[in-house]
Amino acid sequence: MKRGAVALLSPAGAVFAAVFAIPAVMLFVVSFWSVRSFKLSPDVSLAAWQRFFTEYWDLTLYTLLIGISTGVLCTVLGFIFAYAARFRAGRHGDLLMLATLVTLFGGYLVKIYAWKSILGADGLLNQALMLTGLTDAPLAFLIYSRSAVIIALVHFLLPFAILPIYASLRNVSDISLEAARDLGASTTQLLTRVILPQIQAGLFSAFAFSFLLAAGDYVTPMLLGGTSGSMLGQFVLLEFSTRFNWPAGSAMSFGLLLACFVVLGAAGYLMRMALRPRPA
Amino acid sequence: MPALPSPLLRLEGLSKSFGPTVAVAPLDLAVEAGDFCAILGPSGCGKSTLLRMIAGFTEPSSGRVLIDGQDVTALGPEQRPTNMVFQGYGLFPHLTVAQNVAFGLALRKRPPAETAGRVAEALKLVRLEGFDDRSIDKLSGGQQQRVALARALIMRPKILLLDEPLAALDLKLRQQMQEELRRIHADIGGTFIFVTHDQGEAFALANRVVVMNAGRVEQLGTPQEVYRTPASLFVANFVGEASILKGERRNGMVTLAAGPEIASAGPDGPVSAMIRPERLQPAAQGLAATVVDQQFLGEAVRVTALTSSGERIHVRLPDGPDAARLVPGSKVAFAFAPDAVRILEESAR
Repeated sequence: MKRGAVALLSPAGAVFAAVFAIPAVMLFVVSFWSVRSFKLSPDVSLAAWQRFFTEYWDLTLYTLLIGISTGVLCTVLGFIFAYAARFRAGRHGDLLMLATLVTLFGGYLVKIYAWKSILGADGLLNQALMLTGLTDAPLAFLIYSRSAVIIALVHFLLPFAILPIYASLRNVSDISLEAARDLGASTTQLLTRVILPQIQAGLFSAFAFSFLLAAGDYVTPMLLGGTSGSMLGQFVLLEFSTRFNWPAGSAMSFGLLLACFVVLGAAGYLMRMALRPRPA
Repeated sequence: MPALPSPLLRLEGLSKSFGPTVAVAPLDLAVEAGDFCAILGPSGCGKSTLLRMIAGFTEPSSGRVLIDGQDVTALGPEQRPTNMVFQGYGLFPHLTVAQNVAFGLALRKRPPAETAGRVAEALKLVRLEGFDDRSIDKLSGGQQQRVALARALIMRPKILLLDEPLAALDLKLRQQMQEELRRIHADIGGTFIFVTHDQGEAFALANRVVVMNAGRVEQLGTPQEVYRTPASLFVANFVGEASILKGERRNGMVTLAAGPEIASAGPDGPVSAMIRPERLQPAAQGLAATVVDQQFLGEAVRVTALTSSGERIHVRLPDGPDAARLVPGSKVAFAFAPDAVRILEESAR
C-alpha cells in the first residue's frame, strides 16, 4: 500500500478503531466477566455464555428466522421492483429509485405505528374485513405476532434491498440479453442464466443488509411482536439495562453476531451454488 | 409454372416505421445460400433496423421474412435459424470463454461430450484454442470479437448476421479480421449478412452489396457493379470517390457543362455524368481543368481540379513523372474512355 493511501485512510481508521473496534473488543472481554449484586468484576467465567446457550438458544433461532424471512422477502420483492425499474420503466427508472430513497425519510417509528393502526384490533384491516362481511369479529392474530413484525420490517427495509440490486442491474448490458435470446434463451433462462448470475453481489448485499438490520432489531418486536413475536435484541436490552447483567448481554450480542455470520456464509454459498454456470 | 430454386432469405414488402418516422420503406430482397452479403449505408439509413428485422428483434410494420421458404415473421429471435454477432459483442461477463461459446448448446441440453467437441471446434475456427478458461474481461477487443463469432457460429445458423462487426477494432486488426471472416465463410460455406457503413469493408468481404439510403435500397449488386455502374447519384458518391459533372442530353448526345460530349441514348433533358478517379488520365486534350490540390497517398497521387464550369473533379494517378507535373495552378486536360462514363438521369437522385 502506498504512503499516500495510508495517510488518507488513517483518519477514518482512527475513528473506526476508537468508537467501534476497541469498544467491541472490550465488550467481548466483558462477556467472560462475572456480576455479583449488580457489580461487574473481571473474571474468566463462561457463565454468561452458558446462559446464552441454555436460556436463549430458541429465541436466537426465532430471531434468525425472522431475520431470514425478512431478508428473503426483501431480496425477492426488491429484485422484482428493481427489475421493473431497470427493464420496464424506461427512462423513469432513476426516478423510481429516487422515490425509493424518499420513503426512507418517512422514519422508522412512524412506519411501525402506521402498521399498528393498520393491523390492530380496531385497525383499518380489521374494520375493512368486518365491513365487507368477511369476518364477524376482529382478527386478533394480525398484530402482536411474528408475521406483524416481519411485515413492518420488510416495509421499512425494502429500500435497502432495492438499491444494491438496482445498482448491479444497471451493469447488465442490454446487448448481452439480446444475445442470450438470439441463442435461444427463454424468459426464465434469461433470468436464471444471464441476469441473476451477473447480479449476485447486489443480491447478496440486499439480503445481508435487510437480514442483519432485521435480526438486530428490538423496537419493532417490542411494539408489534407481543409475546410470540419477541426477538433476542429485546432481551439484550433487558440484560444491559434492567438486570444490569453486562456479561449476559455481551455474550448474547456476540452469540447473535456469530450466528448471523453463519447465516450469511450459508446464504452466500447457497446462492453461488444455485447460480453457478451450467455445464460448459 | 416451374418452381424456381428459392433463395435462402426472402424479404417481401418488409418495412418499419417508428411513429411517423419511416426507418425502412417497404422493400423486397433475396439472398442466396452461400452469399456473403453486405448491407451498406450511412448511419441512420435503416440498415441496422433491417438486420434486426431479419434476426427477429424488431417487429416489421408490414411485410414478411422467409427463411428457406418458411415464414418466420411471427417468430422471435430465439426461434429463428439465424444467429447474430452484435456490435458491442454482448458477451456474458460472468462466464468463461468456453462457457460463453457453449451457451446456446447448453440451453438446448446437448450431451456434454458433443458440446465440448463443438466448443473446441468453434474456438479452433476463430483461432482461440487454449482460451477456454479465460474470463471475458481479460480479452482484447479482437479476441472478444472472435468469442462473439464462435458463440454464434457454434449454433450452425442458416444465416449469420453481423452488426458492424469490425467497427470497434483498429485498422490493422480490422484488416486481419476481414481476412479471417472470409476464411471462415469459405471454410463453413455458410450464408453471412452484415451491416456496415464502411464501403471498403463491404467490398473486402462481400460478394453481394445492398446499398441503402434513407430507408430505401438504392442498389443491389456485386461490388464491381455497384462501383462501376452506380444506379444513382447517391451510390456514385457514397461508394468510392467520383467526379460528378452536369450535362444536357439532346438527340442521344450528352454535352457536359465542362466541355466534352458523350454519346448516350435516352430521353432529352438534364443528366449527370459520373467518372471514377482512376479512369481519368492527363492528356493533350479532353476535359480541361485547373489543378487545385495534390495529395500524396503512397502508392498513388490524388489530384483535385476545377473544370471551366466550376465543377470539382477527382483524379487518381500512380506516383510518377505524370503526377509530378500536376501541381496546384497548372492547367491540364484529362482524357477518359467512353465506357468510363456513367450517365445518370436527374430523376435518379
